[in-house]
Amino acid sequence: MNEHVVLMQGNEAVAEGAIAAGVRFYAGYPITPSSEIAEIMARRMPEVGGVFLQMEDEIASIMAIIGASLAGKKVLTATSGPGFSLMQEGLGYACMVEAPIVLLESMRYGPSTGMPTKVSQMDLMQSRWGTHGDHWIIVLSPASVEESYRLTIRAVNLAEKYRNPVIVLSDETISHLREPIDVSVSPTLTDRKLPVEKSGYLPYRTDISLVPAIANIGTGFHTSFTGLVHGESGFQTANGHVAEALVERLRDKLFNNLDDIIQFETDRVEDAEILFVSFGITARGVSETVETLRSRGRKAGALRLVTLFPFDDDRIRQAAGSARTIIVPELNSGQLVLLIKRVFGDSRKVVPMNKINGDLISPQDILDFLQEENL
Amino acid sequence: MGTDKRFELRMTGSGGQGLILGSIILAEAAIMEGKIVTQSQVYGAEARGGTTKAELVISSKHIAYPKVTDPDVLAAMTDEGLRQYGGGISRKTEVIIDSSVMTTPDFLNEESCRDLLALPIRSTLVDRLATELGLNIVLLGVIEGLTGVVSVETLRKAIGKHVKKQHLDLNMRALDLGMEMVEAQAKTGIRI
Amino acid sequence: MRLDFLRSERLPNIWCPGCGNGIVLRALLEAISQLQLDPDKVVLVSGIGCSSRAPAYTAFDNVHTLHGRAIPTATGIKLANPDLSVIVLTGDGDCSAIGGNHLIHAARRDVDITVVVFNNYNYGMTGGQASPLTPAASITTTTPSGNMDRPFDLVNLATGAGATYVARSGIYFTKHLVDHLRKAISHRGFSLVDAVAQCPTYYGRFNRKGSAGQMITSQKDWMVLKNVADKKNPEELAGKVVIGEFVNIIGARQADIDAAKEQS
Repeated sequence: MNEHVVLMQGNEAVAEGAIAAGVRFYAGYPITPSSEIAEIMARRMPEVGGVFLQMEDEIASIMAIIGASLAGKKVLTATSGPGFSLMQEGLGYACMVEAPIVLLESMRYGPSTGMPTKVSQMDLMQSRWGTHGDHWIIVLSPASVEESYRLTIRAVNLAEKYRNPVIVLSDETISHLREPIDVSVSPTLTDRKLPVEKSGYLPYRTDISLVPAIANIGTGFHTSFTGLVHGESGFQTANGHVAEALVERLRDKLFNNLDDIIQFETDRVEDAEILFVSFGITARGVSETVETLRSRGRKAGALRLVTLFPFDDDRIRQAAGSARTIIVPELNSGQLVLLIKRVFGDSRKVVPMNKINGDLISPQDILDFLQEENL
Repeated sequence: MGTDKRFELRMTGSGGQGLILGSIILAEAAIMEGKIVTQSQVYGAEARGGTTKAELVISSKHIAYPKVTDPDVLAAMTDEGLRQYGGGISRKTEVIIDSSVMTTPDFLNEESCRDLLALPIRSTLVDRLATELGLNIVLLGVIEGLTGVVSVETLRKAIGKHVKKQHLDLNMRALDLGMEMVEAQAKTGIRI
Repeated sequence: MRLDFLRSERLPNIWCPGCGNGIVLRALLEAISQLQLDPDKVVLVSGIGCSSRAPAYTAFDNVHTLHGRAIPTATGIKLANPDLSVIVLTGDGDCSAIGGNHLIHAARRDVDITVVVFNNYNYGMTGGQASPLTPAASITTTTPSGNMDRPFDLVNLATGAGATYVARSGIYFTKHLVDHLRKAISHRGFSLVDAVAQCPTYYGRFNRKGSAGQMITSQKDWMVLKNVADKKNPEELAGKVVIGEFVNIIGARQADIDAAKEQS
């Protein structure tokens, strides 16, 4: 056996992935099913010379990591739906001041406090549109413990590279699932771009990358940060042209780099007549179903979104092959399917498959669904 | 276990019996033998004493769907656990119940499961080792005796990783006790 | 005061003529000058409101955050880089209403930051609504018949929450204000200065407090120095506001933790 292979819980993989990625500041508030991350960080941060803070609520938690990020740290917070709701104003602020932060959200069931120990994928749209105003965000979706580790590292790197909040959208099942993972590979790390020249320093002036090289607080550059619309100087303005340019740049700094940001996985899409499009834990049941259907002679395939947002219609269209029927199983009343329908319009038969009882979509559920729907 | 065989275990009982830890120990033993595993659990809102369910899938290849769908073994340590999580079994399922604390379930018969193994797990543990701790390890012994899903040596090693040195001997005896119970039961041939 | 601490290119400021915020800001810059702090190591953090615009007029690193959220942001900055002097500039509503929870918890934790409250008894930026520090019976746009709530005593609130340096001053007493800001900034632990300023545009006008100049000079009539107040009985202090230093203790948090450890 490989001695580097250890049994790890999803939440532990997030914590260890963050540490491997260089996170040295964690602030959070306990909430099921993400609490283990706070507990692990409370022990691990001091061990690696980092800071752990248990804040008074999720609002304070996200603001504390934004402050620490602006002061130069790689940072993480973790929460679940109700806490994610409280973090929305901070998330928008981080988008606006371009603070690299990583936020792990473990989706539990339901609106409001719902069912804390049950799984769902009901916060997909919240992860994209939870905070007010036009804003752009990166959302990554792990489907396993191993991927929780790897995508947390990737999230930290993307946050630093694009100076943007990155959400790792996990769920109750993956948070508490234990699987073997190999943690011996040292990851490649990305650090934020910093300014060199103090004279003429304008924090929000950008080069062709559209990502500003903003100085860390305390390094003598005297930066102004504000959630108000600001020009290159960082000072607030109500100038409509400046506002338009800022909001466009916040979009384009991500959308000019979709090849770098967007990842997905395909399984036998090429000749598939029936295609499943899914994300996160649901993709595991899909994967087994595709195997079963193939063994029965049906040409089934799967597309799993690893990057949920930015969502690029063209890339999805290209990745989806030519299957006439596209099924979108998800643990909500139909959120991803809205995007998939947008991509394909009436050109394909796009069928939602939803489960909202707090259990996973099992391979048998999918087979039963196909039979019931004559698909 | 054959090369492609998927082994599925579900254990249910009440919080504090250590079933989740038991499933983790067996998972780690399987990893030591180069297997792939997925371990999961369900718990209620109570921190202590509620009904729990621990699940383990062991396979020699990648596990896509991580939960138990067709268990090879269902081990129930309380009536309430069996009532809540005893569904979803089939003719392939070996059902283990603790006859010292449970009533024999009337819904289990030759049609619904492969076998019902009713063993006085808790009372035997108390009689023989004068302790109530280690119920989960006795159960691992029963499962090991029944299935041989991992080697006994590996299982001992995995247990050793989780128990304090001063409790190691007791836990090894608990494991032996579980295996003996299966052996003794097999000799008498009595199955309900 | 070092003039280079101001970003003159960003002036004039947004404050109304007669606003007290400029005087508090000037007193703060004076205190920082007197302490000879390295301007590269000073960070001003604010929330939302008139006073929260102050940091952006300075040449330090400055972070204009969300309404009420300056204190947790400052907490993150301070713990990420303990070499920095982290000062929160906030208003009465920003810090005691929407940010009230953060205020008491930062005081409880004894985070080494300084909170300067530009206290003008109302929400100025949004048009003069009542705040938790608006005196009872006062007229504001949201208390047209007089405030039916009692205000917080910010000094007692911070003290009760565990702040290890608490002072109050008024802008009429500029030297007093500078002195207490200086002590607050150099204090190791959570410090708060309740700096009473005036809002002639709203609170003053609605409550017939006279001109800005009258509002400032009247402070000497209704404010009493703490050492004077200590010798007076409660009747004599009715309607007065006591200014001075109320709490100044070092190592209180650690002492409490040690005592608790001892007991267990």
